[in-house]
Amino acid sequence: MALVTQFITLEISLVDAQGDLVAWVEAALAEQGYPLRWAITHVDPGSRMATVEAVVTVQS
Amino acid sequence: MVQDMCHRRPYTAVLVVPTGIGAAIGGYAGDALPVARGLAAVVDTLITHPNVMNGAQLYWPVANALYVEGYGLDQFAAGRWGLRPVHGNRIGLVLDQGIETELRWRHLQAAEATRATLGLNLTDYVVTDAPLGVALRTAVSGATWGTIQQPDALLRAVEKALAAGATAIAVVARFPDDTDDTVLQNYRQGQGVDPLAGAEAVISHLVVRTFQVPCAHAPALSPLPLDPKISPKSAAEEIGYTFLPCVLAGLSRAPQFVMTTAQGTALWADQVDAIIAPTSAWGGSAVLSLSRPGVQAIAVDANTTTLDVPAATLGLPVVRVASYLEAIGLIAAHRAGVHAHALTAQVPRLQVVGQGFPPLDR
Repeated sequence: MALVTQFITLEISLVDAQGDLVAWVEAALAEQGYPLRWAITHVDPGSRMATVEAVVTVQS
Repeated sequence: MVQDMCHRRPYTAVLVVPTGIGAAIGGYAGDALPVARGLAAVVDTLITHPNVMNGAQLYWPVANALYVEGYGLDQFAAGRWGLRPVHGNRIGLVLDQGIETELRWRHLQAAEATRATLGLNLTDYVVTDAPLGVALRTAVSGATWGTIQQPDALLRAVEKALAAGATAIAVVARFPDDTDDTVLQNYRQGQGVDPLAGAEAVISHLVVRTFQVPCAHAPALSPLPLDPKISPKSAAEEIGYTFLPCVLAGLSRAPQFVMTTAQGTALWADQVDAIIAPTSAWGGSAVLSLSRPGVQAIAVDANTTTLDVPAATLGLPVVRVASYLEAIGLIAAHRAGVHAHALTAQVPRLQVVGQGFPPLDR
């Protein structure tokens, strides 16, 4: 098994985000891998959907 | 600005200029370092990160600044890690096996120079057991990212350096010289987005996440041909064979990370008084964590980026200022306990509770 990095993009709902936004995003990223670096890079003001660009690591 | 510390608590500010997003101030060769110097003059402690402080051959020893790698800064801001100041670190230099011989010698000579001329403490160096294989990408947002093909090789090398007694890690990875010509020329003109930045962040983040030690990265690149027209903002990266000196200088006194309050005196996120970041880049982990009641959040309009994520879109209150000059003034007033409205020509009258003051920002 080798450690690899993956670049991913997620859409998360700011309306649904409960409490700590950072923890909310990290929990969503953790479903894809171990979060390494991420940021919200776009917010749609109408839908309140936030785009997160992230690098996660996985064992492959 | 030495004051009697017995009668007030220290003022701590965090300065963030995310790397790889084309920040107009700080997106080039350490061009946010003057901002750090200015802010450091009006606070007791300034916490910032390598992208702000690193000027390749150039650096400045800001005595009250803490040099904190981005992943570590994210964890600190989230309240998970503390920062314990040190007198000095022993730096382990990790060199990518993919660096060719002559360029490796240039880096070793830079390291030796910091030992003899600056008195820095380094362990013997480690070479990775495989070329790290840096790859560069640009995301849809315009932010750069990248990765290395052999993260395990990096981590094995760091493990060796730590076993040799290192308490901080400097990584030098071989970056491709064949970056898109337009992108590179833009960068040299002080425009566009640093094509290397995202990959650099991934490298140091991997080390800090795995080992919880200070880390910073310097890319190994072949020297570029002379261009008399390069921007002053990019000039610091054109005057030597390596970008290593600033990394070693920064790491030499970077704070150690602690995981619990039982690990001794440390600075924790609940002691932060202010966060300063570009207006359009409010979506990063550290900035979001510190956007909370009790922390003066200052968004700087002049520092444009490729992103468009102002705090308002996230429902977060900030004070927007036009420039870092204004931010420095606002911090000075905040630290002095002076309400910013009293420094304007129109001081609002008191109102009955519920009507409140008009906003200060634009």
